[in-house]
Amino acid sequence: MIIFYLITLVVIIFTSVGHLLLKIAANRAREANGRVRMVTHPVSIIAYGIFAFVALLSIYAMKGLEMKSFFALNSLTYIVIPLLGLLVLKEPFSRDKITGAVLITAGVLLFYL
Amino acid sequence: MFSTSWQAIKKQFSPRIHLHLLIISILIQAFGAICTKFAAECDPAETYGIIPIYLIMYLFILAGMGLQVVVWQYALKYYSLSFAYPFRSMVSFIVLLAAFWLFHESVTIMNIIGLTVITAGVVFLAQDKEILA
Repeated sequence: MIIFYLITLVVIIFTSVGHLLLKIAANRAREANGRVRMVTHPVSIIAYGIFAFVALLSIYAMKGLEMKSFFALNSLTYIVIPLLGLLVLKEPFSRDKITGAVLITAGVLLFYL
Repeated sequence: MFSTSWQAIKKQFSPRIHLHLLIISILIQAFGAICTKFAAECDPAETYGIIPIYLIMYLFILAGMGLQVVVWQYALKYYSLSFAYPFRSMVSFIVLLAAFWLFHESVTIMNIIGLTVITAGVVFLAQDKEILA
């Protein structure tokens, strides 16, 4: 059973990394003043590949987890994405983000009570 | 004259039309979730012709993901992230209903309270314009 939770953890991390890469591609496209297209940027392509892999991993995770539990746990991506933004892109982690992260964590815990 | 009337009609109905984009976006996401569970539950040896069913489901999931990204981007043209983003967490409620009806999973009051608190958290996160979409 624990293996399916570990796969879900990998899904959460990879999904967040995918979103981070999309943000990096968007930033690079903006810096290039339209000379580079965001959707066809190599970093975006890597992100799409990650999302396709995540879809495959999700199928394996749901072989052992209930659908409702998998998607409740997936809400943790809402926290991991801003955390990666803070660590990699040095984006600010505002008070609203902290409140949101606390509420989401509490919500996931309540879901499992 | 006709142009002015058309603009008035467009102004009257356009908010609802755009709201449909958000609703379609979350429905596609929920459809992807249901396909994922179906793919997880189906027998790997089960085929449609010569194509394994789980592969067909996987292609549906990928197509849904692509379509959802496009519709979501269009929706973001008309709505701020702080309004649109909490809609995404509505998918969890649709998934909860689908889990109950399609996959006969149990739904407890704590599941509903948990998802409501998660949605409140997403509303707070969406107040920050730098959130990654």
